[in-house]
Amino acid sequence: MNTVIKVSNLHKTFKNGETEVHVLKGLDFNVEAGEFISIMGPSGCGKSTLLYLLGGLDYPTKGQIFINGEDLNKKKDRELSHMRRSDIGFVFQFYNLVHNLSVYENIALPLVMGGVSTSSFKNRIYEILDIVGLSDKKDNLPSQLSGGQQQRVAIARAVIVNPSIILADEPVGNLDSKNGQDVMKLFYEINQRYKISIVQVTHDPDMALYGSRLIRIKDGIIEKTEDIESRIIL
Amino acid sequence: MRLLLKHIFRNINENKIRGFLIIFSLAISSFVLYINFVTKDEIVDQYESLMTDIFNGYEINVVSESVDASIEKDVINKIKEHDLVTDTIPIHSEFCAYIDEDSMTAQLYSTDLKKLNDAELIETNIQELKAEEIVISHSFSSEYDYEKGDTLELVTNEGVSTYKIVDVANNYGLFTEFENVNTFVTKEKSLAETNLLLVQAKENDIGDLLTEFKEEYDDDDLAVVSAVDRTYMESNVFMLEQALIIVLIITALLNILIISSNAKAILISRRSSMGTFRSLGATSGQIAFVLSLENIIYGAIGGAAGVVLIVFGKNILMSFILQGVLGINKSANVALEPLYLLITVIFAVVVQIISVVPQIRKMANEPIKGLILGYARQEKSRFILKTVLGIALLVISLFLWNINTFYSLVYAILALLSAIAGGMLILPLITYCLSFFIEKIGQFISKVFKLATKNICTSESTANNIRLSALSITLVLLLVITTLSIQNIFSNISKYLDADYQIYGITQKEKEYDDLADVKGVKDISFASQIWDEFKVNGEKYNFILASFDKEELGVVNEIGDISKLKSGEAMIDSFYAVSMGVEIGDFLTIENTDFKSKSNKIEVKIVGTLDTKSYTAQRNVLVITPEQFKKEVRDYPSVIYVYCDQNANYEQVKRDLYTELTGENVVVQSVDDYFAHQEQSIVSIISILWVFLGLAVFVAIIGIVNNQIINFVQRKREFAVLNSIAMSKSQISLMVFFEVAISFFIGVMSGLVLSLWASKLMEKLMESLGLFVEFTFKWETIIILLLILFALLLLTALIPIRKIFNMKIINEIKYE
Ligand SMILES: Nc1ncnc2c1ncn2[C@@H]1O[C@H](COP(=O)(O)OP(=O)(O)OP(=O)(O)O)[C@@H](O)[C@H]1O
Ligand SMILES: [Mg+2]
Repeated sequence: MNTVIKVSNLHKTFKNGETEVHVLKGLDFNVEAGEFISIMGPSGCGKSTLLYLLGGLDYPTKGQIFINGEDLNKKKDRELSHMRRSDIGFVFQFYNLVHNLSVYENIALPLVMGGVSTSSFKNRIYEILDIVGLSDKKDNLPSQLSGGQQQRVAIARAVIVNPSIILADEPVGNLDSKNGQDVMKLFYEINQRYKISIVQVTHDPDMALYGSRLIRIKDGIIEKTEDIESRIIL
Repeated sequence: MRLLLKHIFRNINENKIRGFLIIFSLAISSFVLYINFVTKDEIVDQYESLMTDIFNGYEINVVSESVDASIEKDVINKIKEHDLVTDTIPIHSEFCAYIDEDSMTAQLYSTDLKKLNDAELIETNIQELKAEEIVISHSFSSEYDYEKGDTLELVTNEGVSTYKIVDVANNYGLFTEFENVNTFVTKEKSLAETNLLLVQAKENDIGDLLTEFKEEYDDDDLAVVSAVDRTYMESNVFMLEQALIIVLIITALLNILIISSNAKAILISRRSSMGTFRSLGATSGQIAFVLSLENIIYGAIGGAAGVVLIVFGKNILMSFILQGVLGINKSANVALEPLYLLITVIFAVVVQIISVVPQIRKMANEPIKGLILGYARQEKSRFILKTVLGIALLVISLFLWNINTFYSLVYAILALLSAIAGGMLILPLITYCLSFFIEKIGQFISKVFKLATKNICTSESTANNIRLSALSITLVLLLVITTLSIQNIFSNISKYLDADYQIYGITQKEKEYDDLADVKGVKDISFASQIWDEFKVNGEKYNFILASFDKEELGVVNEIGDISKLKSGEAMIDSFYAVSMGVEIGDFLTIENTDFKSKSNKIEVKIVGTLDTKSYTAQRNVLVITPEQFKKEVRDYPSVIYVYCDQNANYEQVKRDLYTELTGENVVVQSVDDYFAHQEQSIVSIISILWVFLGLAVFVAIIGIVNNQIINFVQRKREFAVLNSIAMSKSQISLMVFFEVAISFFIGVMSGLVLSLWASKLMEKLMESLGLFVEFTFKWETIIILLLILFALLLLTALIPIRKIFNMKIINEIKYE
């Protein structure tokens, strides 16, 4: 198995004028290809911060992150953008769909950023629409969908470029448990089917069980890493 | 790409109101630009076609230089016989005055009416005129209420005579309404008295003939001119052109200001989707591209709207300009130049892009996390930078004003622009200081007032309100002060000219007119000698007034030296004109003019002093020599006679008696008051055109303010809703908003007032650099009344958010995420 994410001695400090918040105080962990990791921890411990760092949306104060063997510190903004549109998919708590584009168009958006013609990806978009179960809603606008459906669009959008990693920050935090289960099942299926590594942050222990490994963070360090024995297998 | 375009168009569609306002202001800018492009050509073309119509092919005019001289018979015959000449019409032309109507003078043509009729230079059914019969034009008839059969009393060379009106001819040919010149036709005189010969030739031959005749006949006694002289008009519209360019710059700057504050709001609403784009791997370049593309589309739509405005509005506006400049009531027909239209559209795009580039750059380089999570953007406060820059610019304007003693136009414009820019930049500082005091006062008024003052310093929309109101107030006041002051030129000059009548057209020596002092009701007369013409000074051409004085009078004041001690061969020059001419005390000048009496057509003078002549002529282009030298070498007869009446004289009768006394001379007696009224009129018509354009610019500013109020509301809806749900009633919130708006406009209006005073000072200099000396005065009552009206109008715009507050559905706003 090869390592898709390697984090070593990761520190993050926020400065707000005089006060400094030392959020991450030296994290070390790896994510192997095809793994499905759940991250848990108390509110404010730095889970979201960690995900943004992994996605190159923010910069570490100290330490290194390797994505597929490449050091993010050494990448320029342009290269980070390239990485985000080919290698990493994001799923946020609040879906972050473009409100005036249809479901189909939202899913196609990362392709447009990469400058590829969407028509050659038509079949793939249909395939993914089918997987997320929204084939009949492809021309709807986000405002015409339920929260769960919107999150499934966001997942489809993350999957479309066939990344090696999907980073999800409380993807079901906003959904009821039924819809939450459905979305988690979708993640599971994607993880199995496309062998995309998934790192999800969650507050819900039940949702964490869809992963293969759990990382607990507390006070800016990794408190515990454990393989999930009672993993839900579908 | 198609997908991005779709996204962009949907965005534009979602921001209809703001987008509309942006597009509208761009359209106006484009319109002003196009008018700038075409005005000169249109005026000159219209002038040309008008003159072509008037003269109907009789375009070459041979005129005897002095009124009592006539064109020699064999010259007339030779011209008539020339191969290329198709026809000639001999005319005796003279100025006549209309005795009951003070300012009215007319061109009286004594010529063969039938010939004029055949040549289609007039339209009348009368075939032949008897002596003392006259044909008048339709416009004269309607303006002064004369009909066929009435009699008309005119003062001509032969004294006062009564004419019988036998026909009112259409405004056609020589009777075309133009520059308020009236033309009458009466019975022809003998060929020997011809002093104007209209020469007709085929269109292609006119140019050649003109050059040929000029060489052959143009001399001291005769002038050969083309009636259709483009260059004459081209130089006449120069001032208007300058003014239009200034208007264009102001409109464009206003637009940039308005659009950038608008675009800020639009772009802020675009943040979250840009964050999403970024998280999906868009580079900052791609973000900038998408946002720029959107604004290019805005610009293009604005330009296209401008084209529509141009298509429908150009002729209306141009007719108005033609009326002002040429005094003709003719509908304009401005051509649609594809190249100009293209430039206009590009201009709109460029204005739009310039307005939004700073915002786009900011957004493209913002941290992605903030974009995605929708943090309020951390605006780096540029307060200090702006204040320092603003003060620096104000100091620069002061400095430029101070060192600009040599009347440089560039310095003057730079000073004015940096003053306005500097004033705009220190507005946050002023706001900060003023709101501090207002807050202190506010404590005693009400809690709501206090709450309102809290928002003044921090709110972006308040800053916009202040900026826009300050700028529009500055512009309006600047224009009002300038306009009111221009009228000072005449009151200032008239202060020094207390004569009742002035007589011009004089051709004889002073002593011939001594009898005028004996006319009943006349207290005194005085003579003035001056020539305003083009002179060659040390070989170079200058246009100025060569005058003679033996003491300070008529507003000519000593600066260095003393006019009364001037000796023959010495001269004094206006200190301003000396600078622009590059002349210093001690210089020797050789002045040449073909009309000089001296054989060599030259005079020699040494500059011994300087004068201030701004109360004599607003252009200050004056060179004064002694009366002795003037009489000996320049001209031995005066150019104007000033007549001072007894206090209880019968003015009308004095005028008749003066005319009677002057029988046989081709002079005009005009009341001085009337002369000034006339002069003022000509400037007022140019100013009124400026008003139209600045009106458009201010309109754009008002749109910006209205727009700003809407944006302000949209951005703060949630805040209002929360306030309403927890503490305040809708009327309290409205009151708070009203206070906010009122305070911000108060600050804007006060700053605008102060800035406009300084700007007027700079404008004074700018006009001096253009060669127009206007002493700026501040008519406080007018200014204060105007300010109150404008302030009230600005306050009215507060109704927009207040109405919306009352219509707001609280639950929707709070629920909405
Ligand atoms: N831009 C910032 N400036 C200063 N402090 C920040 C910033 N972003 C995050 N923080 C701080 O970092 C800490 C971690 O924030 P983070 O959002 O990562 O927490 P979290 O673990 O995701 O919490 P939650 O479970 O509530 O989402 C918090 O204390 C927060 O206040
Ligand atoms: Mg979080």
